[in-house]
Amino acid sequence: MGTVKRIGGAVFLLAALVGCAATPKQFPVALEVDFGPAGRPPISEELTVGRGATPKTLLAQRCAVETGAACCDPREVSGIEGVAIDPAANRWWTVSVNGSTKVSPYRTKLKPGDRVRWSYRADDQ
Amino acid sequence: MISKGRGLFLVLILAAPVPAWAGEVRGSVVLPGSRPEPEQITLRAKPGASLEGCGPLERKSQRLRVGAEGGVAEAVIWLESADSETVAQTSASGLPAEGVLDQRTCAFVPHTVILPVGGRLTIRNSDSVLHNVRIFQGAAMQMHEWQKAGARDLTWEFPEAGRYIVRCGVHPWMYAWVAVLAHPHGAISDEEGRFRLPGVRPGRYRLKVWHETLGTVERPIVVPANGLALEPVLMQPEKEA
Repeated sequence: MGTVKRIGGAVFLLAALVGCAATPKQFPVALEVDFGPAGRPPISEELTVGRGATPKTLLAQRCAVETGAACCDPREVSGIEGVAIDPAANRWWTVSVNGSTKVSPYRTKLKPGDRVRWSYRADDQ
Repeated sequence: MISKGRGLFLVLILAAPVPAWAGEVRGSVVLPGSRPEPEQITLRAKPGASLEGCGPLERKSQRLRVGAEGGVAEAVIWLESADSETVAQTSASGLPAEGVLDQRTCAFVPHTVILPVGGRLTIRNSDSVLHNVRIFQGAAMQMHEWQKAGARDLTWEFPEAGRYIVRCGVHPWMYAWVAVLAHPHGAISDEEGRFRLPGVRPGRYRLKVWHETLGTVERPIVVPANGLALEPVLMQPEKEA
């Protein structure tokens, strides 16, 4: 049992080291912000981020970000450039990375060349 | 000749706190002009969510319901005291301290609840599907709870006056309003737009009416000791987005 644990720990450590080594210290990613019904001009820029950057830290490099629970966690993004979520109008900020919405704004670690898109949209059915 | 029992009954009746000032303010909330058709919605499931048990998938939106005579349903009406004397006399709330919001056929029932500050809302899931109850004041989330079918009721107390919206995170069409009033007199208009505010002391007030799509209207009123029947409160039509 102890041997299995030690091997597991070693594999985890190795994977973490390989992961770190594979991601450069600084790398470029694309940021898009679509203000949708808020009617603001969109933002589309390439920015350089450091290892460990998340969709939220990337956003904060370029925009004024308000943090607060919109759904489930107080670390969520509740406003960008003064455009806040609007529960009465059912409008929310959502994020995707390379087209996938199965990401966490504050946990997902970005990789070189990632395209991060923040969208303000109504949660219509 | 009055028997002892009857005499005691009369004394009790006369001593009961039925004040001379218990006037009633009655009125109606009306949308002038042609009656708007209720918005039709079609329920669609989010990925991974179920609509089983949600009932009819085609239904009328709760956003704006106008009766045959133009009466606006589910408007919130309340009185704010317009002078310090009336404020001093109306500190106790006449609103029920508890309300119930049920989730039935994937809709919140009722659509609007009023409570006093400190009032408690019980949230029930009578559906056979999972709901996700979220309460917001403005953009600030106050509560977030999952509620499975058959789960125990949730409760939430509202420490501050204001308008709160309750949403289901699973079913985006599901929402309800909770108006928490710091004033003792409040009502929700019925299907014909009518409302009654009982037990109002004589005095000067500001009558306020709020509806989710028609906004807020207010007017000064003077309530005499025998109550007041108001002219209809006219709302402005919803502006096109």
